[in-house]
Amino acid sequence: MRHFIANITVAVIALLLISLACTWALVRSGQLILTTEKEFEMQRFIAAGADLSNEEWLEIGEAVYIRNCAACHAQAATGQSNYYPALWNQDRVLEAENGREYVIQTIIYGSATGLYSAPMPPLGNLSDLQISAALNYVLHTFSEAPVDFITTDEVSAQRDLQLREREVGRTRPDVPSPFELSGSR
Amino acid sequence: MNRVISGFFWISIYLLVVLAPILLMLVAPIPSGRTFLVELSVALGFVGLTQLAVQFVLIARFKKLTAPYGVDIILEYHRKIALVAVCLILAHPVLILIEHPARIMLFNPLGGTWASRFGLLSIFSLILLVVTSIWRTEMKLNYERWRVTHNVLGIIALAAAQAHVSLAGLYINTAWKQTLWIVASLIMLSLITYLRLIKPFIQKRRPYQVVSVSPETADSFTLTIEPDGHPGIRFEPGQFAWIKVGDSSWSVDEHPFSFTSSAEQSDDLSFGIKKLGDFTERIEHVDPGTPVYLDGPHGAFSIDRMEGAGYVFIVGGIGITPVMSFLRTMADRGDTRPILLIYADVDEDALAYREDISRLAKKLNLETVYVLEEPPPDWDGEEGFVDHDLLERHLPKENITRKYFICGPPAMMDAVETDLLDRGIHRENLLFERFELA
Repeated sequence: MRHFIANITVAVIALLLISLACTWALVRSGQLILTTEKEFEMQRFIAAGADLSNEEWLEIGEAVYIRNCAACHAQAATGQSNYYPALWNQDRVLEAENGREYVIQTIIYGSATGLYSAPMPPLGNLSDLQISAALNYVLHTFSEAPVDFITTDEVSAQRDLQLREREVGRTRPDVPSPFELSGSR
Repeated sequence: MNRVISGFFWISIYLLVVLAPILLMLVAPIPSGRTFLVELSVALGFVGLTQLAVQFVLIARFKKLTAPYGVDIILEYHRKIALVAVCLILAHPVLILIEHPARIMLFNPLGGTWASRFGLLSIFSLILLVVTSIWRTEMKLNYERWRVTHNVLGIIALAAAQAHVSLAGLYINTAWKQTLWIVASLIMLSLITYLRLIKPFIQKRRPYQVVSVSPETADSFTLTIEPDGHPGIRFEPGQFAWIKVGDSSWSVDEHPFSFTSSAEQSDDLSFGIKKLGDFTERIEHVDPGTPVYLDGPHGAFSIDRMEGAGYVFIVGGIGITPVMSFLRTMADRGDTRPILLIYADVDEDALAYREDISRLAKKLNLETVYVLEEPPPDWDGEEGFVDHDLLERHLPKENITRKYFICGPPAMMDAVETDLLDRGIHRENLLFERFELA
């Protein structure tokens, strides 16, 4: 009897764990758990055709950056040795030809340039608002020159291109590497 | 009843611990949800890691925790659930790779990041753990060496997995979550210190010494020990203990053996031991007075846990040892409930305790059936195996509910189990003891 119960318990726990993981994945990928109420409000705000002030962009951007980007790029955008790039002075990338498109694509489709030992994973799950806010936060906070803020329309224009990480990596504008850009400040 | 309550109590705690990380992952700030495959991969990694960590509790032989189920069941559960955990953990990198093929560069131990290297190290240790455990005998790895390897690989697997999570985890994004995870992992790792360092220290202060070693058959003997300077322990008939013999209680040379003495006497404890390898051979030649250290009593294969109007004991080979404890205890208690003992072995020389059994039969309501695979010419007992016809001839026909205790080689136990269930005997009246703890 006890061996029988032990075997049943193993099966029950295994099924419980797998179904728990599947439920988790469904709930998370379906964005059923919203990260903050603030973002939700802003999303409706933009959908209604309103413009966000710079402070609002940066406020949302910082929250998105800390939750989704800082694990690798670090809170102060310093990156980590040759694993993850620092994000200082990225205005140079933005100014280059196709720079704005490239920067947006690295987030939606990920990027593998071979410059770093870890590829940038695709984060297309982020909303247009989240992506533009995070980019604006990084560009504004960690660059010297003022930049034109990236709009949600610019982000949505890059959706549905079906790019792979390496394809994006190959289109990187001909500017100094993130490592050199960070050091140039 | 008490045992049932504590049984449910520990299972609830277990479920809570298993679910805790998932609940913790929902505490703000949480990253935005990623795609289904990535989130599935992450969730499997986390629940797998939690299971991995819980294994350290399961193997620590906490008596309070294992008593409701029997430590042998806990260890069987450990073997199976750990395999499940490894499968879940293996799914983690595979799913990530399917979603992000460019991440193949993280699978190169020389490239990648520290996060990916620790992840790889953990997975590598886990695969080695599984291989050395399942194919231990085929790999000619002896029990002691396997045990040390198993401990070391387990520690590396958990520590590396924790480092991987700390470095890579998007969900471990605040200082307090980071601390909580690291502390939890350290607690789990320290349990192995408890089992291997602190427990032996406690045992050192409650030593036993060898009284005698007496042969039972050509390949089995009885080890009798007595407490040295303390009152000893009480056990339930049919239980077992882990034994270390020699000067050091920190030795890794430790094996489980069943008590064969009466649970009503605690001054002398005896164990039935079958010669199986180096360790048992060494015990056979120890001198009286040699120190012995005990970790026990453990196990739930006991008549005191399954009261019945009568008993049927079906044993093969060395499986007789817990039954000797049953018979001696019942004799000491003047317990005259009807007992049928079916004892199977290869040949007459292999049968142990025959004289003891016939002496005990005078005090007990005991019917004994010996079954030999290779009987001598003048044999008047049963021959062959414990099969359907044999059980048909001997199983009691009276209309009382007896409890069945079955202990022997796995093939015999499986056959007997199927047959008894076919007879309509309810599963809850059957109790099995499986010896392979390693």
